[in-house]
Amino acid sequence: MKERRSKLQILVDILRVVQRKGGRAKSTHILYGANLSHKRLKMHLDMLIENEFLEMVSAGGRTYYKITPKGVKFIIEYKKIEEITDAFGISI
Amino acid sequence: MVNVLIPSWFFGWHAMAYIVSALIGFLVSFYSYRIYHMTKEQNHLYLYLGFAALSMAFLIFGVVELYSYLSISQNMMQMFESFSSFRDFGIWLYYIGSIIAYLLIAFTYVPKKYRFAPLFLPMWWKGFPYFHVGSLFILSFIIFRATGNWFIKKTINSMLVFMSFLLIGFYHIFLFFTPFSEWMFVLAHISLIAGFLSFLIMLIRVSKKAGRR
Repeated sequence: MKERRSKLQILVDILRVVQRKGGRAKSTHILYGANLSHKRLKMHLDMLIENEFLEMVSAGGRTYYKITPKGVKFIIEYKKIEEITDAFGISI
Repeated sequence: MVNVLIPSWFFGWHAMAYIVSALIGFLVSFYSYRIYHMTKEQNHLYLYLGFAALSMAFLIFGVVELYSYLSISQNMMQMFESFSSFRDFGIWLYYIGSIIAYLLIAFTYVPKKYRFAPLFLPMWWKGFPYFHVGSLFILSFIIFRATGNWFIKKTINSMLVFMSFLLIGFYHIFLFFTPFSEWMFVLAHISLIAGFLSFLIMLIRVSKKAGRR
């Protein structure tokens, strides 16, 4: 059975989806990529924007979510702590 | 009274082993703090506090031993006389600090409902040989968990953490046998520094890997 993701893991998953899409992604791509419901996605996106990890940009009449340098730094930091907790055998 | 055999040529170097181990330990606790800062999880707090306490205990002991080495080597025995009680106090801080540190690190692996378990640990580790038995008792649980993690993950980093705890365990085993051979004292400190170097290698690997992405 798969373990439930923590809030932190969900936030990082969203950021990783955006990063994989070249640093800019539509909400539908994030929705499928991060495997979230629309309601939960909205809640987490708001949180990421509030903390300046993501920013909303408009292009061609569409809204995209763009990862900020702070968001990229957060992914790197998370990768580090993921590696260390993995080495110690403790969950995040 | 148990006589500990210490080779005279090694006295002083052992203090450096504690200080270097403490510095690496502080680095581990710094990274653990960053984990706790991000997750706010209680078991991550225990890991941070555990390594901070262990490093502090080693640093105190290292400084005390370095001072006693300098006092002896500079023939300042009259100064050493007055220093003796301070040295004893330093050793006790090291004993208590280490036990608390090992318990906190063990707590990282124990579910919240079982954290009362240490209350049933035998509290007779007053003085030299019992302190090492008590430490080994707690460390054996940590080593068991680290071994299990290494078998499951099969990664180099999990092996390095397992090696670190195992070598710290050997440090206590070797020290326990110091009344029989002075080489035990040397091996104990080599084991200690190797254990902390293993932690350092793990941290370097993690930083390099994260930086590549």
